[in-house]
Parts: sequence; C-alpha cells; structure tokens
Amino acid sequence: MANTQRKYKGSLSLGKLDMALEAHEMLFGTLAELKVLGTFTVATYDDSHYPALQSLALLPTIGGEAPPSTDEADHMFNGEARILGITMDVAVYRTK
Amino acid sequence: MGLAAVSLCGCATIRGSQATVPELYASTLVPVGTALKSYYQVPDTARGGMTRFAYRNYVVASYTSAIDKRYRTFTDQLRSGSRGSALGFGLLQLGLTGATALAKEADVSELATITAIATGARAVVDENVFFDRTMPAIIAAMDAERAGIKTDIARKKALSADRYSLDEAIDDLDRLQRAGRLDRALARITRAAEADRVAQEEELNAITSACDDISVLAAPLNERFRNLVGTQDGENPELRQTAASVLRLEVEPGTVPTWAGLREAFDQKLCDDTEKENFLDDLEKSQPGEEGI
Repeated sequence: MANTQRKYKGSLSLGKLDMALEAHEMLFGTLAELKVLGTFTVATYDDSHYPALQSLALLPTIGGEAPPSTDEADHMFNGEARILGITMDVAVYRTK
Repeated sequence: MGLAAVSLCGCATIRGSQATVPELYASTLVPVGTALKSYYQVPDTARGGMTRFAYRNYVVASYTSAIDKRYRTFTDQLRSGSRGSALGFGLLQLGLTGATALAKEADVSELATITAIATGARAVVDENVFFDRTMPAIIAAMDAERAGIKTDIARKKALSADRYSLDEAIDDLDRLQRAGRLDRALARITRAAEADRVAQEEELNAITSACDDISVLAAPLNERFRNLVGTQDGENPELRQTAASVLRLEVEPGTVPTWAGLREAFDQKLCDDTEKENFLDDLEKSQPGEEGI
C-alpha cells in the first residue's frame, strides 16, 4: 500500500477538480484525503484499492455538514478544496 | 485620522499591556534600590539575617508573585472585552497590518497608541473570529513567553549568589514583566505564522503538480494503462520494459519497472489525451502476437 499526493490549481471549478481526481484514482488508487495548502488543493490517494471508473462525486457542504448519503452515493469523508480561488469545505462521495 | 480617532475613543481605557508593577521600580514590596543596597552589604543582619542567596530568592519570589497577579488581572480584562468594542477592531487591524513593524516599538504599551499607529485603512474584520481565535492565540503567546522566562528564573534561583546576582535577577524580572505585552505576543504570532508559511511552501514544493487541463477522457485512458501494465510488480515484464523505454523511465538493469514508477512517468510525461491514446495504442500493439511499437 502506498500513498501518492498530487496538487491541483486552486482556479479549477468543482467539476474540473472532480474530473482530475477521478483520473488520478485510476492510477494512484482511492482518494483518501483532500485539503488546501496555500492556493492549491492537495489530494492523497491510497492504492490498496482502485475504485470503479468515474465514481467520485464532490459536493459543497451545507452549513458545515455533508449532505447525507443517498441511494445513488455513499458519503466517504469531508475535506477542503480550493475552488475558483476560494477555499471551501467539500463532502466526498462514491457513486454506486 | 478620523477613523483612528474613532478607534481611539473606544479603547482609550483599555491598556495594550499589563499594568506595570510599580514596586519593581518604586517602593512597596522592597524597593529595588533598597533591595540592591541591602544585598551588597556585608553583614547578613542588613538583610534581616538572610544570606545573599536567600535574600535574592526572597526578592525574586516576591516580585514574581506580584507580576503574576498583575498579569492575571490583565488577561482577565482581555478575555472579558466585549464583542463589538473598538478593542477588537483595533487589535485585529494591528494583527493584519502592522504587527511586525510595531513589535520593534519597545516602549509602546498602550493599545490606543498601537491602534493609532496601525490604523491606516480600516480592515474588514470579523469580530467573532477575533474573540474566538485571535485573543486566545495572543494570550497563549504571552503565556508561552512568560513560561519560558519563569523556567529560566527557577533554574537560576538554584545558582549561588556569586553566579546569579540580584542585579541579574532584576533584569529577569523585568523580562518577565515585559513578556505580558500585546505587541510582543503579536510579534511572536507573526513569527510563528511566517514559520508555518515556510513549512507549507516546503510541503507544497515536494508534491507533484497535476497537469493543467485534465479532461473527461483522462480517467478511462489512465484505467486502460493500469489494466495493460498491471499493478502487481513483476507482471508483464516485456510490456513494462517497452513502456519504461518510451516514457524514458530509468530502470536498474535486469529489473522489471515497477507499477509505482511507471504510473508516475505516465502521469507526468503525458498530459495530452491524444498523446496518451497513441502511447497506449502502440503499447498494445507491442504485446506478443501484435505488431511492434
């Protein structure tokens, strides 16, 4: 098991970031952490498991709370991301 | 000037540091002048029968206790400052605009004075953040500096009078008193924030950047590469050698390129989807039974 990190420009939209994270999950394994360092979003991946193709979803938290899991997606963890130059709390989901 | 005056009106009654202990310079406990005079007299009877060592420690303990008492009063006053008062605005302006420069103003002790200097443009501030986070941080910074000085004093109190004189002890007491100052605390916080920024920069520099533009095609292309090469080390040795060679990945002679090395090279060297696709097409063709790459 190995962890890999990648940093993403803080100017990305939520959709673009989601797309980039999904792409890297195919190489580096499941997204395990999202945080902001300076003006970048930093993602940590864990390669003990490779998730299904394009099965990641990011949602902004509402009032600091993650929207609950649904029939469509399971909530994995909360993190933070730099979206369009603004640091925001996000909830990370895995679609079924 | 108008804004500065508004700030000053609100905080003129609130001090920017703890009130000084007048006894340290004047005359209620044992005035310092008297204490020094007694300390250097030869017979112990001039010090109520105490040796120089005991007398020095008596003076130090008395003044430490007085300084602590004043400090507690000061921090209680800071904690009880009401939200919405000009104290919050003034201090936050200081923290945001002038802490480093002002920290060098050793004689600045009144918050009103600090605020007057710091106020250029009125910053947009969140008072709740100030009282919930900034004020505890300021008090913690003062506590930390005082704790360091008190530890130093406690250690020196074990030294003989020859090695730690009352003069030196008074200097330390002065340091202890000066540690309970907002300007010093802010300077300390600023230094810590700068250290955090440097550490963050180092951490960021160690992390590889993702390609600038990652399209929706990148995920299936990356998955295709993983499926081709395999994640288990030693898998598909010939194909891995071919991939490593095209990606210009350095591999120890006689070893099979690892999945970790290959995926790093693939991710960093091929940002363009078409390039990735061409690379994968060629790699597939290089497999036994297919055309060469």
